Amino acid sequence: MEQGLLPGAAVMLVFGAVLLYGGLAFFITIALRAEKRRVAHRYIDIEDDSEH
Amino acid sequence: MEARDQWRSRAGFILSTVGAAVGLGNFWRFPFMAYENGGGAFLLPYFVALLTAGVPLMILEFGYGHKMRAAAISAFGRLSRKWEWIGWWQVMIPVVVVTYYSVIIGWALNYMIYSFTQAWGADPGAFFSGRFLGVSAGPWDFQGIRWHLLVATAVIWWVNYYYAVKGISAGIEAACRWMTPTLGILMVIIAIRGLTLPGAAHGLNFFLQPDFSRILDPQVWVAAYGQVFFSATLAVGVMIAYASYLPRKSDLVNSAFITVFANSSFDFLAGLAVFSVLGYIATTTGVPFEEIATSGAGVAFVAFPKGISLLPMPYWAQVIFGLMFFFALLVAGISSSLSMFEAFASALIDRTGADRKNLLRKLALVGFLVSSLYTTGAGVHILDIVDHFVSSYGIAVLGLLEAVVLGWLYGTEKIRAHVNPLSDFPVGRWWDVLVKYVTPVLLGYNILNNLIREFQQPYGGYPQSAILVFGWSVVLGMVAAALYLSYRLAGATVPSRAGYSRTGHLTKVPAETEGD
Repeated sequence: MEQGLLPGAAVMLVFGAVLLYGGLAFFITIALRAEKRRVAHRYIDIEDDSEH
Repeated sequence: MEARDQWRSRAGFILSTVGAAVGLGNFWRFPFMAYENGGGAFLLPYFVALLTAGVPLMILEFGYGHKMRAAAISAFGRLSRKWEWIGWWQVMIPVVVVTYYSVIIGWALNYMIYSFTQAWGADPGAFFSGRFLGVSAGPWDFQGIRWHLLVATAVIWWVNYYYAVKGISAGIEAACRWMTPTLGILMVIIAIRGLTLPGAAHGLNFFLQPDFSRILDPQVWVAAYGQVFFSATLAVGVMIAYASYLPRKSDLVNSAFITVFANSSFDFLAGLAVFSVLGYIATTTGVPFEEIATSGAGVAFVAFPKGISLLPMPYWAQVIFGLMFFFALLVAGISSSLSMFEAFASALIDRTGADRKNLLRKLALVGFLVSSLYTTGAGVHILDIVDHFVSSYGIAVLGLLEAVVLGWLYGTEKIRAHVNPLSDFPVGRWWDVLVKYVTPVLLGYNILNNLIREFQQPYGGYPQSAILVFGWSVVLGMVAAALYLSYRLAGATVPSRAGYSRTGHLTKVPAETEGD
């Protein structure tokens, strides 16, 4: 007989997914933003150098 | 001395560290840890362990490897000559592990081929232990080499050599740039197919239904910390070596968080895929779930083949599903075995200045010869004993030593001062507390707990002689060899750190700044 997902298991499924995949997405977003900032800084540095 | 290679990009570095961390254990260790330790309730101690041991130790290894700009042997040698043996011991672990790990990856390669004909037939369990492995009566009953296992193992060693010899950027990074995303995509497809099978919920209930009464059981916490620690490939010199190849201005803290969270995300995804398929098998065959759910390699090579044959789809689609699953195992295994191979090779090259190509060729050859022992009828027994002792008394003790030596003797403050200005966000004093107090206490308890059990009952019911030869001798032999090599090379200087000039060319860091 087929059994459905028990409420406790469903809660832990959501809990695990949110914490792990949410956490991973959060840290990747920080990394992407930081990389973007670094590229922008590098661009500004190059601009400054070319002016002198 | 030849200039050290470095990672081409941050993404390449992270994909490689994730590739190193995600291995075969993610498929068959984590889901059963949860199943045996309170189901969904296990996720709570697991997350606590992730944040209080996994991430802090990863930051420690990234920070120390990057600061010392050397793999484990020289990195510990630069701290003090008397601690160099820890580095030697650390890199001996992956080289021992890779000798049997490559054999298991070879199993996956064989099963990929078997997927075309479903050679495992109606009784995958009997096929796996009988026709495939030819499992003998015990660890002393060798019964000769199984040639199909030996050939597959030779292929895996060749692949390891092929990528490793190309170096960090052109070899390992290039390989992991396609292997890690491919593994992720395959796992998502397998999990989606598994979750949409009838009876999947039945399996997931065993994996996720929480039994909160187990939360107060210390064994559950020991299991959670053990899982996070072993799964993340910590304390074996891999992450120290990988971080040493990062350019000077590289984030370390956030990369450690991403690596640990990505590894655990694979753990969770594998749990969903494995338990939904097991639930489907239980529902279809009417066999109680407890009889199907056995941890270890049996999940991949017995339960999954059974599930593949039972899938409610055409034969060709079953073949594709089988190919995808065993290819995922293959990729997960190779990206990890590459990291183990590299941890030893780069440490030896850094310490002795050996020629990379020549060293890797010899290592691959000797490694393959040792691997052949695991392709005999007794191989699976020996593998089981070596793996247990290396994990319980090699990796765990090294983790403890690393936390104590780097945390207390070198000083977490110095590593924190190194990583914070480089990273996307800094770590606070909480990190010092976790490395210096929490990790040593928990690992110490874990080791003590295992030791007590060891003396109460010999592991796996194997004869004492086999436990002594393949268990204790391997672990203690590594310690003795580490001490000997460290003493033997005492006269030779530890090569200084390679630094990077602003233009990116390799330079030497002035002597007065070393060993700070």
